[in-house]
Amino acid sequence: MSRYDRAITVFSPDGHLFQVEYAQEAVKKGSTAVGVRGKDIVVLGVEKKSVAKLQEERTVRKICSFDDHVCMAFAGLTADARVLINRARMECQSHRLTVEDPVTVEYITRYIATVKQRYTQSNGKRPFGLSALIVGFDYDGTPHLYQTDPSGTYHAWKANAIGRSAKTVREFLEEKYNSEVAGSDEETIKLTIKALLEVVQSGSKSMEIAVMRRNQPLEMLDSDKIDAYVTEIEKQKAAEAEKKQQKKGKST
Amino acid sequence: MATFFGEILPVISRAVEDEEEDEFLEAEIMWESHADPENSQKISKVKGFLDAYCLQNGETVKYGTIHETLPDENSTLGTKVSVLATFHANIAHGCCTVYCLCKSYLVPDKIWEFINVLTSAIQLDETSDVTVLDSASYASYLQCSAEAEVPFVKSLYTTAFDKKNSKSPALAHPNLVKGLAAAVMTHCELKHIPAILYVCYTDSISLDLASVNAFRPILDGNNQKNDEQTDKATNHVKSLIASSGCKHSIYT
Repeated sequence: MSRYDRAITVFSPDGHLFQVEYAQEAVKKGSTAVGVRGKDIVVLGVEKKSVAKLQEERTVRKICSFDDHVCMAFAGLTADARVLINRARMECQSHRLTVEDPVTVEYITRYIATVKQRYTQSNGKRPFGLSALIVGFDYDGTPHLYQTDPSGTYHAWKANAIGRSAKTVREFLEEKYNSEVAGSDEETIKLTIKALLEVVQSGSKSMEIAVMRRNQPLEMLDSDKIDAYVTEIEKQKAAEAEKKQQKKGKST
Repeated sequence: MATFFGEILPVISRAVEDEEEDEFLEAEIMWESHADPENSQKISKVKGFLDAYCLQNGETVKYGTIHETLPDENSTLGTKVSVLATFHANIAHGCCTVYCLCKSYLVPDKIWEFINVLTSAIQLDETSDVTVLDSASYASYLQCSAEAEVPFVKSLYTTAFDKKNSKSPALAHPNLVKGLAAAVMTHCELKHIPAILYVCYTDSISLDLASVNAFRPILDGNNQKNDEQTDKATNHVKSLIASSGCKHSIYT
């Protein structure tokens, strides 16, 4: 294996690009990010890492805006994310000036994915070690959620997770996501928080939630609001647990 | 001697008498009891587990260290001391349990010397019961079928160990154990000492609750005690994670 994993431009005999696969491992080192697409809302939730005492918390961010109507959460190498975000922002403004229209979510996702793919096919460079969840609304009001990975592929999702414990969160989303949840803004936000609570160790203080509604800018929820949602979720869980207990009692 | 490619190679001539080499201090490994050294080891998953579940009960006492004396031109005495292992003892119900926390990496040529000092310090023999805990990266785990979710624990035991007492599945071929853990197990096999090694395969590069809790099935005890112990241990691990997580990380 070691003969084929040093250069990005070399395939192994069984068709692997090991540097790209190693870059995907780097994504798993980042904290969890969740994205959920509703009918009229898109929500991003991220696990907030603890910062050092003397560190400015606002400079440690996993959720960034590209434009007024599109934003991204990432997991993986921070420096690589910064470079990609800068490029994406430039592209969004260039598109506005050239075409006199804001970018569609798919366009900017394809742009980022193309940049990433280029770095999997160049000598002397390494792939970007991050995956991104890109959410936003097109000018016709359609909400979108896209995910990109270090290989340069991108796909549209209804709900997805990236980073550490992404598999656990994705399985939770597969179980709980349905059209009823997507139809309600409140339920979409709660689903995102519930998904994060599956893996976040310390509760509401360790998460950041960003919400974007149609024709409205990105809104970062206050910690008080998140606490309120978490309390409501815990009450619902307790009520459900009690119902189950009562059912068991009746059946026996 | 200069080669065709411009490399300068050192050439030793047998015609010339060798000058006496300068004397230098070799590193010396020694045991010292009743020491209270500054513990500056990086918090590993194994140390986190022992710290949380075994060493915080108030009955365990630190009673010795194995350290290495290295030459150091910058220090006053010309040497510096590096702690390789610390020992804690717990005597309960007429049984003495010794916990030995070792540095996660020892230079290979020092390992056997370390094992000799270790075994003479705690006097391992055929009546001893040895449990070795180690952690490894999931990337190094070789498997032919999909494995349970990471982190997971595998075990390896000596011939003298009763395999019914193993609390996790055996580590299958072609996976290997290397380093200090392998040296301890080899020593126990040669001396017919019942010993078992538990290796936690994890994809986390830093201390995390899931990896620490992966070792929990090894503990004995009734359920009630475990609940109190679990809460206390969980809080302790969270505080360790919070303090170690503040270090600058390239991943977000």
